[in-house]
Amino acid sequence: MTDPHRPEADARPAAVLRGLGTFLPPRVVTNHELSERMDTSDEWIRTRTGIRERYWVEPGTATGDLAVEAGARALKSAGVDTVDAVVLATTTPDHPCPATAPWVAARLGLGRVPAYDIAAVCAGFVYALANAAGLILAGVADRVLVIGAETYSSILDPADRNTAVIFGDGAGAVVLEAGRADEPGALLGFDLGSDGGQHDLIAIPGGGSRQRSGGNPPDPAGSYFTMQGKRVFVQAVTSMGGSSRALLERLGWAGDTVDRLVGHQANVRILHAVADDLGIDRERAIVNLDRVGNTSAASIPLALADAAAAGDLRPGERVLLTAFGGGLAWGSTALVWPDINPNRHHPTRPERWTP
Amino acid sequence: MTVLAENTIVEHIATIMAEKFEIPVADVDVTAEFETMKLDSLDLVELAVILTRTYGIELDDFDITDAGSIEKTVAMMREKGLRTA
Repeated sequence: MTDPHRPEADARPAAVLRGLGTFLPPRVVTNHELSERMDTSDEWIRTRTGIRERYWVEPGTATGDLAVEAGARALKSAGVDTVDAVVLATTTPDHPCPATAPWVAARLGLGRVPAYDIAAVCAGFVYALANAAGLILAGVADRVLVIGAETYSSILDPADRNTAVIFGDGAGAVVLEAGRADEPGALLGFDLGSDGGQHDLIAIPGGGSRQRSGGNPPDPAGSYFTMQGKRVFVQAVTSMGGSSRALLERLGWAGDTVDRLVGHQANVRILHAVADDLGIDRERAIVNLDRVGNTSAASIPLALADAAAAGDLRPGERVLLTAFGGGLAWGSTALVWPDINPNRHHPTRPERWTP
Repeated sequence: MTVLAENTIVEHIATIMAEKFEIPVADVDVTAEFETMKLDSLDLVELAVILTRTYGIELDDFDITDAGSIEKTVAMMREKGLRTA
């Protein structure tokens, strides 16, 4: 009998994961702290979302600062100090213009390489992976630094208990390199999609040309992040499930042969519903949102690094990544987990812990 | 499309309630109001997703909240086009 986990010889070129680094800012914000500030409770937040605590930046720290920290750790994890391009996924760039990635590349001492941002909200990291894989397969770059970094604390409405309790700040990054499709770490395919007909479900209404060209003065309330939670819940479950199923079918992977489901860390109930839909045991769904909240474009690398540190993600395991967010936009990719050494900075949790 | 008996669908929903929401089977009453079953708002959203996927009838949590119980939810699904034997 053939080992379902052993990839067949496949000399096709592919983008291969070589390193992983993450960074969380120092300040932990517990549910208890939030319940002192607004009408909510630890119990309400935990039962609705699964979140216990998240990290928020101190005043003055921006997305680019977190991206530099995570990027440096990913380079160290990969054992390299140069790349050919930097792709940064974020919803919370340092400035509306220019992109944050060039500044991050310069701060990392990466020279004059192409560097740009990807705006796909919570699906941003998967979109950035697809984009970087495209650069590699098109021969534009041999090695790409892909970063997901967010400071949602800078766009949250302090009076909106439905969003303020969910989101956290953080960054994660990977190094992708040209390699072969049969190597562990090779990104084996992508399924991406969007539905702009529902762009209003997750939005920052103001601050863009739609508001500015209207001649209206900027409305401070319009600069906050808004989300229609229940409708998003439904779309998240159906989009991540459908996208994952399409990819698994293309790869010939049955749901029960997936060792680890690493979904966007929005809500533990969404993750469990997606696992149920795909026929993947709930125990195989990686969950770290209880400790970091929803970190949007940073959530997947943070979940990967935490799982690897906890021993929940081992070389040779089949891993399915799937994400969903504003746009609406969603995407999935898959890989066999490579033997890498993630470089993880977690301010209050040691390198290993027992969940 | 297979046409299921109405009581089969009622039983299926009762099974979902027991398995997904960890309600003891004995406590699942198909005529009881959802409010009395200690469900929170997201439970009904999850139920709507599962029923939409299983039966191909577009539902949301408001539909289910309005229906109020398992039996009435199946009746509402029939009004939306679900064919039962």
